[in-house]
Amino acid sequence: MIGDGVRQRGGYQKEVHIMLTPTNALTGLRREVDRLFEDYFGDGGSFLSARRYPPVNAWEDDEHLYVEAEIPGIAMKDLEVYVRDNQLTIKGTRPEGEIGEGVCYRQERPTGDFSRTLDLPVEVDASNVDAKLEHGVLTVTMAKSRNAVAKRIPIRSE
Amino acid sequence: MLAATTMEKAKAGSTSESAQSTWFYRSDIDVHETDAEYVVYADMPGATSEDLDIRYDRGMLMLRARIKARQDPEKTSYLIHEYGVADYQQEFRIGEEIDTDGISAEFRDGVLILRLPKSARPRLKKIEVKQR
Repeated sequence: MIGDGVRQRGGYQKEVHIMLTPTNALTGLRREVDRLFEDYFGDGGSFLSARRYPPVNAWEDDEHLYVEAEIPGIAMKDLEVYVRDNQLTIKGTRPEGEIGEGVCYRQERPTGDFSRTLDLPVEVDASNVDAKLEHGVLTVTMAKSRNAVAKRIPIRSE
Repeated sequence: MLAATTMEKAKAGSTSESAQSTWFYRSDIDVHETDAEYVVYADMPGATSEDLDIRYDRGMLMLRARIKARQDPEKTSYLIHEYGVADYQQEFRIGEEIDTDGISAEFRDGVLILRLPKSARPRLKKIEVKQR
């Protein structure tokens, strides 16, 4: 569920036939609650820390640092992105599904509050950050601070 | 529109010739059942409604989404790499008669919401697909 971050992406799968069998939705909710407390008190926040929700990819070019996270089912208004003290925080709430009178047969999609903080490996300009949420993918583009941008030194040939 | 066209394809028994990578992921899914219908929620971040291919044929539901790479993997050196990006694909068997004409799909914020009305219920309202 939320927080363990290990996506159920087994790689090569063929002909996955799943019989729908009822599960206890309450068990899932209980796990969520436990998970929330763990996240609240236990987030180490290291840039290379163990898996947390949401899962992220990060990369850089000469002038920017990019962090991308898959957070489907969330609206921009339910998502907060901060850059402060050279840390990036992604925080939000994934809404509960509306079961109503029905039965929940499977519940794999994480719900509830999440927060993840990453220590950034280079100094960034906190006033120059762009966050975009598109089809469930958050992309945060951060400009590196001027003194973090490697200056390329031209080499004279004589 | 999405549901109608893809379901028609499924009923006609045609198979898409789309290039299909060997590797794909399965979505996190929720399945809810009420007296009238099954509702499947599938997380497919990075997909758009045009990328989806949904088929229902004799009890088998197939969900597929083609996902375009968002970075050039050859040129990107990841500082953190916690997930991969590839097509989504999975199949389910649904052990109950479904009113295939009444199936509807909606895709929003990377989540597919698929409604499969049970055929035992007469006079089901057809729900139009909303694209956002």
